[in-house]
Amino acid sequence: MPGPGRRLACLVALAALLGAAEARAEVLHRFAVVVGNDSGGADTRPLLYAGADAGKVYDILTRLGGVRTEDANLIVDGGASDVLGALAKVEKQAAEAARRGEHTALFFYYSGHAKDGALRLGESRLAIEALRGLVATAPVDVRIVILDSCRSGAITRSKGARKAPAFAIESESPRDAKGMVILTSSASDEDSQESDAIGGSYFSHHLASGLLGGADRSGDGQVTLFEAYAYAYDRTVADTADSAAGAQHPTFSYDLAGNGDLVLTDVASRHEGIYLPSRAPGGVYYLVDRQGFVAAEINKGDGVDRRVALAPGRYRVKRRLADHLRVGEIDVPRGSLVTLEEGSLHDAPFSADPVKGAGRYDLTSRWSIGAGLGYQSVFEAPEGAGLFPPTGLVDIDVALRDFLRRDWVLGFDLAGGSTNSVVAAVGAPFHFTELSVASSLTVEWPTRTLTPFVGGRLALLLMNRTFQDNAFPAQFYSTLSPGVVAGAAYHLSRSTAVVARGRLHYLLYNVDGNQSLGYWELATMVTYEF
Amino acid sequence: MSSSHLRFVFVAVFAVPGLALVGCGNYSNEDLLFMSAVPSSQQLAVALPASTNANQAELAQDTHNGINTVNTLLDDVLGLVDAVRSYEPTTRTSDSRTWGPFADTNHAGWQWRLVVTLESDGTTFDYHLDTENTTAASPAWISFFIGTFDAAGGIRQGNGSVTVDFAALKSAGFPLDYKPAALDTLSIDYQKYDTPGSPVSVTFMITQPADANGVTSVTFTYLILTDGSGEMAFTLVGNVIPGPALDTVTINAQWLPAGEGKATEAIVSGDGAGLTRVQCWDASFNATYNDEPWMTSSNLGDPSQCPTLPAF
Repeated sequence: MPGPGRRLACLVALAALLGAAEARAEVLHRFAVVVGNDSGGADTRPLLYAGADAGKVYDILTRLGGVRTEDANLIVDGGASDVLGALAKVEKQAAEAARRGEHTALFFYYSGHAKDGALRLGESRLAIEALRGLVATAPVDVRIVILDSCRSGAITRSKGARKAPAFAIESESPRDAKGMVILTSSASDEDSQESDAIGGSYFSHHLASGLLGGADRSGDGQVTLFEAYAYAYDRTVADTADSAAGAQHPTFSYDLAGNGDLVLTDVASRHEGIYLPSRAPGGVYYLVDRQGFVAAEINKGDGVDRRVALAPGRYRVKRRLADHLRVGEIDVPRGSLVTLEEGSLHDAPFSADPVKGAGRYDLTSRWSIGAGLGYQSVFEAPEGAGLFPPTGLVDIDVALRDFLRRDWVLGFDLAGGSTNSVVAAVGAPFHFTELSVASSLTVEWPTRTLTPFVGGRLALLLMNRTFQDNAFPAQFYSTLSPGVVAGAAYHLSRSTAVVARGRLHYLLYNVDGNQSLGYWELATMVTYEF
Repeated sequence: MSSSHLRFVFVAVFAVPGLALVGCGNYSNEDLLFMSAVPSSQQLAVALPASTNANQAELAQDTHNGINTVNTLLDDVLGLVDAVRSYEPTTRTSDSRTWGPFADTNHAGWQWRLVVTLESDGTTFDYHLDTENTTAASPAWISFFIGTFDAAGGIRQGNGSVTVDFAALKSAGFPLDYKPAALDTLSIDYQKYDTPGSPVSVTFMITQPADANGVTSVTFTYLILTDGSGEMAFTLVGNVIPGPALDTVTINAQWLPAGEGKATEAIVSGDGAGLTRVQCWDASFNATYNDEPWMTSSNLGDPSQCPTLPAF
């Protein structure tokens, strides 16, 4: 088996030959199945960014890659049956397209665990050979398979599982892979690594950056398959060379008989994003989104320009020099290609690095607010429910994430509610009001769509009741109440989520003697993260 | 402030209050039980719509007078208890609540307390309202308001009694400066029923030094229904019937929520002993029927003009 460095040399030569003829933007009817799963089952360690990587690739393919949304399938945290179902659907669509005489292409992307010759989708398995066979026999003209996975886990949250046989994606015998291109994120004996700093796996991050325009070596506004691979290869090897898990070498298997290079994304036609002019200094430009993640990492050479087809939004820009940073901010309005001028950047120390993972505590903590409705009920209150009656609550939450440490959430909440009830023993109707102010510390396990969390909470309860016709004097009670909280957030968008949570609290009651009571709460709310 | 300092502050804010896990307040159902053992003035007050009719029926006027006597005394005596009870108990034990001592802001040097005790049978509440002259050489609590309530059927029903010893207050030197100053004792026996619409039945007896007519006690018995209707019976001594003798009469009045009612006046002794008068009135307290044997010229209407009264 040739070493990765030699393989790259061959590819570059091939790309140069093929690139002599202008890459054609074929009129292809493109289909995509994009899969990401952070979970690989019980014997693997959960990944952090597989789902996010899949979402990023899906966005690029549908925005820049000519894949219509009705032909694109995004499966995050799904099982093998979901993948097979999506492939079957695409095959049906492709067959219909072929009957109409259209040229067709299938793009399959997977980010997640792999072990023992199978992709690990949660607790389900999808054999690599079976997948390969399905793709190879799909009724399409061109098949592109990208697998961002590896066989073993290691120190730096490597993808894959523990010791197991490698699966050989890059084929030495392409007889069964006609019209197929296969890219993998690492060699057969390597781990694929994730990075907190870039918020994704190295390979997918650089592949995405390349597809956004960073890989457009020819400068024609189109990113071809070879350009994208060469860019992802260079950047992945460079970034992982000094990592504890060792350098990671992507692989490439190509068998596209009769075709030249294949255009993957067209960054020029959209005319939207950031333009790095040829006069701008060369180097690596980090374009950081509002969440502190690197949306694109562009290695620009001196004297060349680059279009980076980022989605509209505000980005922070960083360029790293030997002894300091050049940083700035740039807005990308919808439908506009904005030129990044060097003069808009300013010098900054390394401590002001806007990239998530660098100076985390100062720069990447995020606030969120939320509001919702809840319901509280005290367990077996003395004298029945007439002591502290069940009450509806309006909740307002403020949370600070990743402040103490990653995935820890400091929360502060205010809740209030009221209800009417009766002290049955004396037949006294009363109006009950409650206000609680609380702080909480929870740990969450974020994924793209669902973030479960669990933690502790300390609430100051202020309760009051007034009796009808002032039959009795008003009564109040206040106490500190410790408890636990658990729930999950379902992400509607990058910033907005619907949260369902439950709380279980201890309630000390000591007016009529010391009594240990408890209460539970259920609530649902909408949160917005800044 | 550095980020490490900020984190420390956050941890301190979160954790330190947990070290002081306490509760405070007066939120108590048991307090309500002890409070309910003592009747409020509102519970025992008689409700009959007031009249502005200068020519109201004579027996309606007598009924109003009787009711005013009762309600005024209730306000004077139980109103004091209501005021004390509007505060949360000062002391709680498993079988008692104590309010006070509170300084009497109207009478310098005097203080009050209310003690309610649940007896060992678990259903009988005893209570007493005490006063003390703090300026006395040997201050001692004087229990002048003493009562009990049997809550065997629950605090919302049962029998209770209260005795107010005005004479004891006066003998202790308390400056009684309102109407009860002329009285010796007030005794109230009552029964509450935990059934919607059921009455509270009360026997209300006043003892006093003999008045000009030699009367030393007056008793009112009455029923209070939750819809506002009621019944009251009481005795009057005076020159009711023309003639030389002092007459003793009993009046038994009944009324509906709007005020219309009927009263029977029976001459127990005196000039017209054995005679009975019946009078009815409408919601404006105008007489609609009057059958007065000793003054037939005042007779009016016929019995059909009397309101239909329920059987109390």
